[in-house]
Amino acid sequence: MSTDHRLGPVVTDAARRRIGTVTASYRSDPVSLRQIREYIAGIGGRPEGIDEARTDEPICAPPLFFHAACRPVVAEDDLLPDGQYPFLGVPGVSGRTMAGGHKYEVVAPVRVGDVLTVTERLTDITEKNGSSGPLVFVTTEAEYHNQARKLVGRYRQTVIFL
Amino acid sequence: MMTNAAPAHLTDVRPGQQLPALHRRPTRVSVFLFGVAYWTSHRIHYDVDAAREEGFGDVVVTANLLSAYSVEMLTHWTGDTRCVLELEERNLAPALAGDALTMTGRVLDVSETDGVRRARCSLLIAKDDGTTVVSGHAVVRLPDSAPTARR
Repeated sequence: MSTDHRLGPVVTDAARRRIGTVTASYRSDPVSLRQIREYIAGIGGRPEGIDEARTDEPICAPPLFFHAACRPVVAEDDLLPDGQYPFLGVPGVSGRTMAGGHKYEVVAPVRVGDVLTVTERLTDITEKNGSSGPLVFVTTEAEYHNQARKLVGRYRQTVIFL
Repeated sequence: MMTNAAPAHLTDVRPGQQLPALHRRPTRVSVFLFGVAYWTSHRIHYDVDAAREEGFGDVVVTANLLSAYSVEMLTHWTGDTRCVLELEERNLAPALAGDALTMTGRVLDVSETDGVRRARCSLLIAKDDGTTVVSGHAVVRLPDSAPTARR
Protein backbone atom coordinates (compact mmCIF):
# COMPACT_ATOMS: atom_id res chain seq x y z
CA MET A 1 0.00 0.00 0.00
CA SER A 2 1.34 3.41 -0.92
CA THR A 3 1.88 5.65 2.05
CA ASP A 4 3.13 8.66 0.12
CA HIS A 5 0.07 10.86 0.39
CA ARG A 6 1.52 13.42 -2.00
CA LEU A 7 0.68 11.00 -4.79
CA GLY A 8 -3.05 11.39 -4.16
CA PRO A 9 -5.55 8.60 -3.71
CA VAL A 10 -4.72 5.14 -4.99
CA VAL A 11 -7.27 2.36 -5.58
CA THR A 12 -6.14 -1.13 -6.51
CA ASP A 13 -8.19 -3.59 -8.58
CA ALA A 14 -8.05 -5.96 -5.62
CA ALA A 15 -9.85 -3.35 -3.50
CA ARG A 16 -12.57 -2.90 -6.13
CA ARG A 17 -13.13 -6.65 -6.24
CA ARG A 18 -13.90 -6.66 -2.52
CA ILE A 19 -17.02 -4.51 -2.87
CA GLY A 20 -19.90 -6.40 -1.29
CA THR A 21 -17.69 -8.56 0.90
CA VAL A 22 -16.80 -8.56 4.58
CA THR A 23 -13.58 -6.59 4.84
CA ALA A 24 -13.07 -6.36 8.58
CA SER A 25 -14.22 -7.91 11.82
CA TYR A 26 -13.26 -7.17 15.38
CA ARG A 27 -14.19 -8.42 18.81
CA SER A 28 -13.98 -5.89 21.61
CA ASP A 29 -12.63 -6.44 25.05
CA PRO A 30 -15.33 -6.49 27.74
CA VAL A 31 -16.77 -3.00 28.11
CA SER A 32 -15.55 -1.50 31.36
CA LEU A 33 -16.94 1.23 33.57
CA ARG A 34 -13.64 3.05 33.11
CA GLN A 35 -14.08 2.96 29.33
CA ILE A 36 -17.57 4.44 29.62
CA ARG A 37 -16.28 7.15 31.97
CA GLU A 38 -13.56 8.06 29.46
CA TYR A 39 -16.12 8.25 26.68
CA ILE A 40 -18.43 10.47 28.75
CA ALA A 41 -15.52 12.81 29.53
CA GLY A 42 -14.50 12.69 25.88
CA ILE A 43 -17.87 14.01 24.72
CA GLY A 44 -17.80 16.83 27.28
CA GLY A 45 -19.82 15.18 30.04
CA ARG A 46 -19.19 14.52 33.73
CA PRO A 47 -17.61 11.08 34.20
CA GLU A 48 -18.70 10.91 37.83
CA GLY A 49 -22.32 11.43 36.75
CA ILE A 50 -22.59 7.74 35.96
CA ASP A 51 -22.45 7.01 39.70
CA GLU A 52 -25.82 8.73 40.04
CA ALA A 53 -27.44 6.23 37.67
CA ARG A 54 -30.23 4.03 39.00
CA THR A 55 -28.76 1.14 40.95
CA ASP A 56 -31.54 -1.31 40.05
CA GLU A 57 -30.58 -1.27 36.37
CA PRO A 58 -27.25 -2.14 34.72
CA ILE A 59 -25.23 0.91 33.73
CA CYS A 60 -25.71 1.74 30.06
CA ALA A 61 -23.20 3.51 27.85
CA PRO A 62 -24.13 6.65 25.89
CA PRO A 63 -25.91 5.84 22.61
CA LEU A 64 -23.00 6.19 20.18
CA PHE A 65 -20.53 4.40 22.42
CA PHE A 66 -20.83 1.05 20.60
CA HIS A 67 -18.84 2.40 17.69
CA ALA A 68 -16.06 3.84 19.85
CA ALA A 69 -15.80 0.59 21.82
CA CYS A 70 -14.89 -1.32 18.69
CA ARG A 71 -12.12 0.93 17.43
CA PRO A 72 -9.05 -1.29 17.26
CA VAL A 73 -6.09 -0.32 19.43
CA VAL A 74 -3.13 0.10 17.10
CA ALA A 75 0.58 0.30 17.91
CA GLU A 76 2.37 3.50 16.93
CA ASP A 77 4.71 1.50 14.70
CA ASP A 78 1.73 0.38 12.63
CA LEU A 79 0.31 3.85 11.96
CA LEU A 80 0.75 5.75 8.71
CA PRO A 81 2.89 8.92 8.75
CA ASP A 82 -0.23 11.07 9.24
CA GLY A 83 -1.18 8.96 12.27
CA GLN A 84 -4.04 7.31 10.47
CA TYR A 85 -4.88 3.62 10.64
CA PRO A 86 -3.47 1.63 7.70
CA PHE A 87 -6.77 -0.18 7.12
CA LEU A 88 -9.43 2.48 6.81
CA GLY A 89 -12.21 1.28 4.57
CA VAL A 90 -10.40 -1.51 2.76
CA PRO A 91 -6.83 -2.56 2.04
CA GLY A 92 -5.78 -1.24 -1.32
CA VAL A 93 -7.21 2.27 -1.01
CA SER A 94 -4.79 4.88 0.26
CA GLY A 95 -4.27 8.63 0.43
CA ARG A 96 -4.97 11.42 2.87
CA THR A 97 -8.34 10.93 4.53
CA MET A 98 -11.31 13.02 5.59
CA ALA A 99 -14.58 11.94 7.17
CA GLY A 100 -17.31 12.32 4.57
CA GLY A 101 -20.34 11.34 6.59
CA HIS A 102 -21.90 8.57 8.59
CA LYS A 103 -25.08 7.04 9.88
CA TYR A 104 -25.61 5.52 13.30
CA GLU A 105 -28.51 3.21 14.08
CA VAL A 106 -28.91 2.63 17.79
CA VAL A 107 -30.74 -0.66 18.31
CA ALA A 108 -30.08 -1.79 21.89
CA PRO A 109 -28.15 -0.48 24.90
CA VAL A 110 -24.53 -1.45 25.61
CA ARG A 111 -23.76 -2.28 29.22
CA VAL A 112 -20.66 -2.79 31.34
CA GLY A 113 -19.30 -6.28 30.67
CA ASP A 114 -20.67 -6.56 27.16
CA VAL A 115 -18.35 -7.93 24.50
CA LEU A 116 -19.14 -6.50 21.09
CA THR A 117 -18.36 -8.01 17.73
CA VAL A 118 -18.33 -5.82 14.67
CA THR A 119 -18.56 -7.10 11.12
CA GLU A 120 -17.81 -4.55 8.41
CA ARG A 121 -18.67 -4.79 4.72
CA LEU A 122 -17.30 -2.68 1.92
CA THR A 123 -20.35 -1.40 0.05
CA ASP A 124 -18.96 1.10 -2.44
CA ILE A 125 -15.87 2.72 -3.91
CA THR A 126 -16.58 5.80 -6.02
CA GLU A 127 -13.87 7.77 -7.77
CA LYS A 128 -14.54 11.41 -8.68
CA ASN A 129 -12.60 14.41 -9.89
CA GLY A 130 -13.07 17.26 -7.44
CA SER A 131 -11.98 20.86 -7.88
CA SER A 132 -8.82 20.09 -5.93
CA GLY A 133 -8.04 16.84 -7.74
CA PRO A 134 -9.09 13.19 -7.67
CA LEU A 135 -11.18 11.94 -4.77
CA VAL A 136 -12.13 8.43 -3.73
CA PHE A 137 -15.21 7.80 -1.61
CA VAL A 138 -15.11 4.51 0.31
CA THR A 139 -18.31 3.46 2.06
CA THR A 140 -18.54 0.68 4.62
CA GLU A 141 -21.42 -0.67 6.67
CA ALA A 142 -20.88 -2.36 10.00
CA GLU A 143 -23.10 -4.33 12.35
CA TYR A 144 -22.42 -4.59 16.06
CA HIS A 145 -23.63 -7.55 18.12
CA ASN A 146 -23.19 -8.26 21.81
CA GLN A 147 -22.15 -11.55 23.42
CA ALA A 148 -25.74 -12.78 23.24
CA ARG A 149 -25.62 -12.20 19.46
CA LYS A 150 -28.14 -9.42 19.83
CA LEU A 151 -27.79 -6.57 17.37
CA VAL A 152 -26.94 -3.38 19.28
CA GLY A 153 -26.18 -0.98 16.43
CA ARG A 154 -25.19 -0.30 12.86
CA TYR A 155 -22.71 2.22 11.53
CA ARG A 156 -22.27 3.30 7.94
CA GLN A 157 -19.47 5.66 7.06
CA THR A 158 -17.92 7.24 4.01
CA VAL A 159 -14.23 8.04 4.15
CA ILE A 160 -12.90 10.41 1.50
CA PHE A 161 -9.38 9.71 0.25
CA LEU A 162 -7.70 12.70 -1.40
CA MET B 1 -39.71 -0.37 33.41
CA MET B 2 -39.94 3.17 34.71
CA THR B 3 -42.83 5.19 33.35
CA ASN B 4 -43.13 8.92 33.26
CA ALA B 5 -45.45 11.53 31.90
CA ALA B 6 -44.36 13.23 28.73
CA PRO B 7 -42.97 16.66 29.54
CA ALA B 8 -45.38 19.42 28.55
CA HIS B 9 -43.20 20.54 25.65
CA LEU B 10 -43.36 17.03 24.13
CA THR B 11 -47.10 16.36 24.35
CA ASP B 12 -47.84 18.12 21.08
CA VAL B 13 -44.76 17.82 18.85
CA ARG B 14 -45.47 19.10 15.33
CA PRO B 15 -43.56 19.38 12.05
CA GLY B 16 -41.71 22.65 11.83
CA GLN B 17 -41.06 22.87 15.54
CA GLN B 18 -37.57 24.13 16.35
CA LEU B 19 -35.52 22.21 18.88
CA PRO B 20 -33.68 24.12 21.60
CA ALA B 21 -30.22 24.99 20.28
CA LEU B 22 -27.04 23.74 21.93
CA HIS B 23 -23.84 25.78 21.95
CA ARG B 24 -20.37 24.31 22.32
CA ARG B 25 -16.84 25.65 21.77
CA PRO B 26 -14.56 22.58 21.67
CA THR B 27 -10.95 23.31 22.60
CA ARG B 28 -7.78 21.44 21.69
CA VAL B 29 -8.18 19.64 25.02
CA SER B 30 -11.77 18.66 24.13
CA VAL B 31 -10.56 17.10 20.90
CA PHE B 32 -7.71 15.34 22.72
CA LEU B 33 -10.04 13.91 25.39
CA PHE B 34 -12.36 12.56 22.73
CA GLY B 35 -9.35 11.11 20.94
CA VAL B 36 -8.45 9.15 24.05
CA ALA B 37 -11.89 7.57 24.32
CA TYR B 38 -12.21 7.06 20.57
CA TRP B 39 -8.57 6.03 19.99
CA THR B 40 -8.09 8.63 17.31
CA SER B 41 -4.50 8.63 16.17
CA HIS B 42 -4.96 10.83 13.08
CA ARG B 43 -2.57 13.73 13.59
CA ILE B 44 -5.00 16.40 12.37
CA HIS B 45 -6.90 15.87 15.65
CA TYR B 46 -4.02 16.71 18.04
CA ASP B 47 -0.94 17.93 16.16
CA VAL B 48 -1.39 21.60 15.26
CA ASP B 49 1.59 21.63 12.87
CA ALA B 50 0.29 18.55 11.05
CA ALA B 51 -3.18 20.08 10.83
CA ARG B 52 -1.75 23.29 9.37
CA GLU B 53 0.34 21.31 6.91
CA GLU B 54 -2.91 19.82 5.63
CA GLY B 55 -4.46 23.27 5.27
CA PHE B 56 -6.39 23.63 8.53
CA GLY B 57 -5.97 26.57 10.88
CA ASP B 58 -5.97 24.40 14.00
CA VAL B 59 -6.65 20.83 15.03
CA VAL B 60 -9.80 19.40 13.44
CA VAL B 61 -12.73 18.47 15.66
CA THR B 62 -13.43 14.75 15.19
CA ALA B 63 -16.64 14.17 13.24
CA ASN B 64 -17.84 11.65 15.82
CA LEU B 65 -17.47 14.24 18.58
CA LEU B 66 -19.76 16.50 16.56
CA SER B 67 -22.21 13.58 16.43
CA ALA B 68 -22.12 13.42 20.22
CA TYR B 69 -23.04 17.12 20.32
CA SER B 70 -26.03 16.38 18.08
CA VAL B 71 -27.08 13.60 20.45
CA GLU B 72 -26.69 15.98 23.39
CA MET B 73 -29.00 18.51 21.75
CA LEU B 74 -31.61 15.82 21.06
CA THR B 75 -31.47 14.32 24.55
CA HIS B 76 -31.75 17.75 26.16
CA TRP B 77 -34.92 18.23 24.16
CA THR B 78 -36.55 14.90 25.04
CA GLY B 79 -35.07 14.46 28.52
CA ASP B 80 -34.28 10.85 27.58
CA THR B 81 -30.61 9.88 27.20
CA ARG B 82 -31.67 6.87 25.10
CA CYS B 83 -34.04 8.64 22.73
CA VAL B 84 -31.78 8.62 19.65
CA LEU B 85 -32.62 5.78 17.26
CA GLU B 86 -30.87 7.03 14.13
CA LEU B 87 -28.38 9.77 13.37
CA GLU B 88 -27.17 10.48 9.85
CA GLU B 89 -24.75 13.31 9.11
CA ARG B 90 -22.74 14.73 6.22
CA ASN B 91 -19.59 16.66 6.97
CA LEU B 92 -19.61 19.81 4.85
CA ALA B 93 -16.78 21.85 6.36
CA PRO B 94 -14.23 21.19 9.10
CA ALA B 95 -14.80 22.45 12.62
CA LEU B 96 -11.57 23.53 14.27
CA ALA B 97 -10.60 23.74 17.93
CA GLY B 98 -11.84 27.07 19.26
CA ASP B 99 -14.76 27.36 16.85
CA ALA B 100 -18.05 28.39 18.44
CA LEU B 101 -20.56 25.79 17.26
CA THR B 102 -24.34 25.89 17.39
CA MET B 103 -26.38 22.72 17.03
CA THR B 104 -29.93 23.24 15.82
CA GLY B 105 -32.76 21.00 14.75
CA ARG B 106 -36.29 21.07 13.42
CA VAL B 107 -39.04 18.48 13.50
CA LEU B 108 -39.79 17.12 10.03
CA ASP B 109 -42.55 14.67 10.92
CA VAL B 110 -43.97 12.64 13.78
CA SER B 111 -45.15 9.04 13.46
CA GLU B 112 -46.38 6.29 15.74
CA THR B 113 -45.69 2.58 15.25
CA ASP B 114 -46.49 -0.17 17.74
CA GLY B 115 -47.36 2.47 20.30
CA VAL B 116 -44.01 4.25 20.03
CA ARG B 117 -43.98 7.89 18.92
CA ARG B 118 -41.01 8.92 16.81
CA ALA B 119 -39.93 12.30 15.53
CA ARG B 120 -37.71 12.71 12.49
CA CYS B 121 -35.69 15.88 12.77
CA SER B 122 -33.34 17.79 10.51
CA LEU B 123 -30.03 18.78 12.08
CA LEU B 124 -27.45 21.45 11.44
CA ILE B 125 -24.16 22.30 13.09
CA ALA B 126 -22.91 25.77 12.17
CA LYS B 127 -20.10 28.08 13.12
CA ASP B 128 -20.65 31.63 14.33
CA ASP B 129 -19.71 32.96 10.87
CA GLY B 130 -22.59 30.99 9.38
CA THR B 131 -20.52 28.19 7.88
CA THR B 132 -22.43 24.92 7.92
CA VAL B 133 -20.20 22.20 9.35
CA VAL B 134 -22.66 19.30 9.42
CA SER B 135 -26.11 18.69 8.01
CA GLY B 136 -28.17 15.64 8.71
CA HIS B 137 -31.20 14.17 10.32
CA ALA B 138 -32.13 12.03 13.28
CA VAL B 139 -34.97 9.82 14.41
CA VAL B 140 -35.78 10.07 18.11
CA ARG B 141 -38.22 8.23 20.32
CA LEU B 142 -40.71 10.50 22.07
CA PRO B 143 -42.46 9.84 25.34
CA ASP B 144 -46.13 8.90 24.98
CA SER B 145 -48.36 11.91 24.85
CA ALA B 146 -50.30 10.08 27.58
CA PRO B 147 -48.48 9.86 30.93
CA THR B 148 -47.08 6.34 30.47
CA ALA B 149 -43.93 7.07 28.55
CA ARG B 150 -40.81 4.93 28.80
CA ARG B 151 -37.81 6.92 29.93
